[in-house]
Amino acid sequence: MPTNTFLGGPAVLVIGGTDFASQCSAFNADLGFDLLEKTSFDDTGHMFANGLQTVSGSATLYASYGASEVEAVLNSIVAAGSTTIVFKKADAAIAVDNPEVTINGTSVSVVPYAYAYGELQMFEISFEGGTFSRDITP
Amino acid sequence: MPATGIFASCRDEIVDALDALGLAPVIDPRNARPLSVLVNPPTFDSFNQNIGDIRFELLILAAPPGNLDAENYLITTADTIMASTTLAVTGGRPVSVTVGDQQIPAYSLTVAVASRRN
Repeated sequence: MPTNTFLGGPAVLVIGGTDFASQCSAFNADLGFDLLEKTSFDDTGHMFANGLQTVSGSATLYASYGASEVEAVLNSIVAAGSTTIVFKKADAAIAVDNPEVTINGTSVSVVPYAYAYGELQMFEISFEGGTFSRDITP
Repeated sequence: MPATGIFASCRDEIVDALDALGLAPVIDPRNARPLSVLVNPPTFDSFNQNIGDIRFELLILAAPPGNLDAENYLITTADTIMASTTLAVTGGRPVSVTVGDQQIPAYSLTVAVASRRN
């Protein structure tokens, strides 16, 4: 039986405590680890072990203005120095097919204002640093 | 059935802006006539399911034939709309449209607007 996937974005995208899923057109997060070399003399190739977690990513958000809107929240998290980002594929219970990822202590360094006549205004933000966890426990 | 949603909302705002400029906007092609501005249905790209990047075509309709009098009216009205601080006119070109059985000299303008559902 075919499995169909409608091509939407994340159903939950909480940045700095506000869910911006309905104002996001693109989101990506690269979550991993620094690789620490552990090659020994009898190895025939380079061998690595996980070091510190690494987090980086970006989001494209609609430029909405007002209290708890994109522009205000971005300014508050840039001023704060770090924030929490939580995302989930579907707006449903956490499960193995709907993991919830939480990024703590990540930093957004700039609020990238950009205006162009006749073009939809958006904020294309980048974040870096912090730690991540993936939850699949219902 | 009255129209609802982000496209209808944008169309209403465009009609209001044209009204404020002292023009005669119409949204029903049956009411299109010289010296009116016909607001055509929009085209759009989706930012996501909630937000539209929307383009409306406005047709400024002049009285036939397509002579200098018509051109003067069209470019003057196009300038009036372009100068609006409400409407973002991204382009325009002269066209000829058929209303009933008659060819009407017109100007086609594109207006850009974004709308968020919630």
